[in-house]
Amino acid sequence: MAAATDDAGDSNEMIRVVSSDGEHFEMPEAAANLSLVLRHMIEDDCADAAGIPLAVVAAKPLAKIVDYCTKHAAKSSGLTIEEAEELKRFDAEFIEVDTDMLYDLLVAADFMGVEGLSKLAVQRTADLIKGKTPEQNRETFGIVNDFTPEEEEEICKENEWAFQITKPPSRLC
Amino acid sequence: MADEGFSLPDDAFVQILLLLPTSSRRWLRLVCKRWRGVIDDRTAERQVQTKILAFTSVPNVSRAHVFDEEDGRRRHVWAYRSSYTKGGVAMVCTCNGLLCLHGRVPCGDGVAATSPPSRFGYHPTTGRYKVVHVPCRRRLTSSDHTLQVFTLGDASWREVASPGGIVSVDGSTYWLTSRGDRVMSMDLADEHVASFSAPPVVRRRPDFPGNPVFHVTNVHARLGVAVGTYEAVAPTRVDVWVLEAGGRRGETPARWSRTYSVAARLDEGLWITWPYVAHGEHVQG
Repeated sequence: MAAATDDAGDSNEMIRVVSSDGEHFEMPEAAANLSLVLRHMIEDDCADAAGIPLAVVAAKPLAKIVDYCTKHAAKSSGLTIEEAEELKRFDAEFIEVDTDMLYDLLVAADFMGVEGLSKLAVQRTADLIKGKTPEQNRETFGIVNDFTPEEEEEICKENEWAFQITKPPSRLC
Repeated sequence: MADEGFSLPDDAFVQILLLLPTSSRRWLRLVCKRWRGVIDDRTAERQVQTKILAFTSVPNVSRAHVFDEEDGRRRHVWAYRSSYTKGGVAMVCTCNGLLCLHGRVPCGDGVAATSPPSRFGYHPTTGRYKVVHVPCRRRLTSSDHTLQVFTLGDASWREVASPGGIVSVDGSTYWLTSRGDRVMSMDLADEHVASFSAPPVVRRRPDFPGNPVFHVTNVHARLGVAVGTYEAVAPTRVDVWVLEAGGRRGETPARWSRTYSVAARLDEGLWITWPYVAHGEHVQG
């Protein structure tokens, strides 16, 4: 990741990006390079004073992503153990967000090609899902149960063995 | 997003689901139709990524350690305690992220005994898991074998009339006859038992130098037979034969090819372990 900053010349240059709702953000070029999409734009000389428009990323998640990339770019190579630990703590705090923001980050990180953030958000979502009953998961993620009671019973039957292994506290089955 | 719930693109959702244990995913099929659809279509049990697992055992407690393949750090540990004071828990095998374990019961002066090896298989169309157990007897004859079968979710074992080792590949469980000349197969869907000829080297035992022993194994979702040659002073070698075509239910003759050969000059008393073909083209001893 650090190598990319060298090819593009002055690594202190600031890159401007514009959210879908028209807000402007700035970050060091090294930070922008953590996004595959931004890196390609910079390499193709598409980064100008007007800023790179990001049509599907709103200001709220974009502010978070700029934060994430700036932090990670500043500490991308030759990390000491303490620095690596600190970055881990930063990630852990960074991803403590509500499900709306988590959703926006998942989609935006995927769109912008920020690999580290994609992984972080995917892991966080998996952690949220894990150990919850189907009903709790519906609540967490705002999902409507579209099964009939008969269909539910059918699935319970198919899954009986798994439910014997890990029985969540649920009235179902 | 508030209106449609957490409707992530399928690709991102699949990545999330693959981080969860197989048994959790079975639960998540109850959330809604979309989740069930994605789980059934995109996270079929056989698509589960291979992970590195280490199983350690000391008296009374065994542990399964699963490692993250990326940085090699340990990520999960499960501990299994034996219900007997001097007993232990051993791993039989794994299948799609599930572990099959058996308890070793102490007998006499506390020596662990009983519970011979079994194998655990999954049938992709019925979605059922079955544990197939070949009871071990001192003297094996070719006719009087009985297999015991346990379907996950059932209350008890069933006996199915029908020895090498035993392995489950692509919906069938395979084992070798005691002379090593035939491969026996049992289809996990209808429990149909058939037999077909074993790799040539296993069949013509007198022609093979040394003292070959054999073992069935899974080679990239195909049946493999590992043939080991052990001699006191000469090199020790293990050849792995893979079933290329035919066999299974005995409709067409089996065609075998020798895919791997491992040879080593080892000190007396050492030998090459049976291969487990797990990661790409790497064979792990």
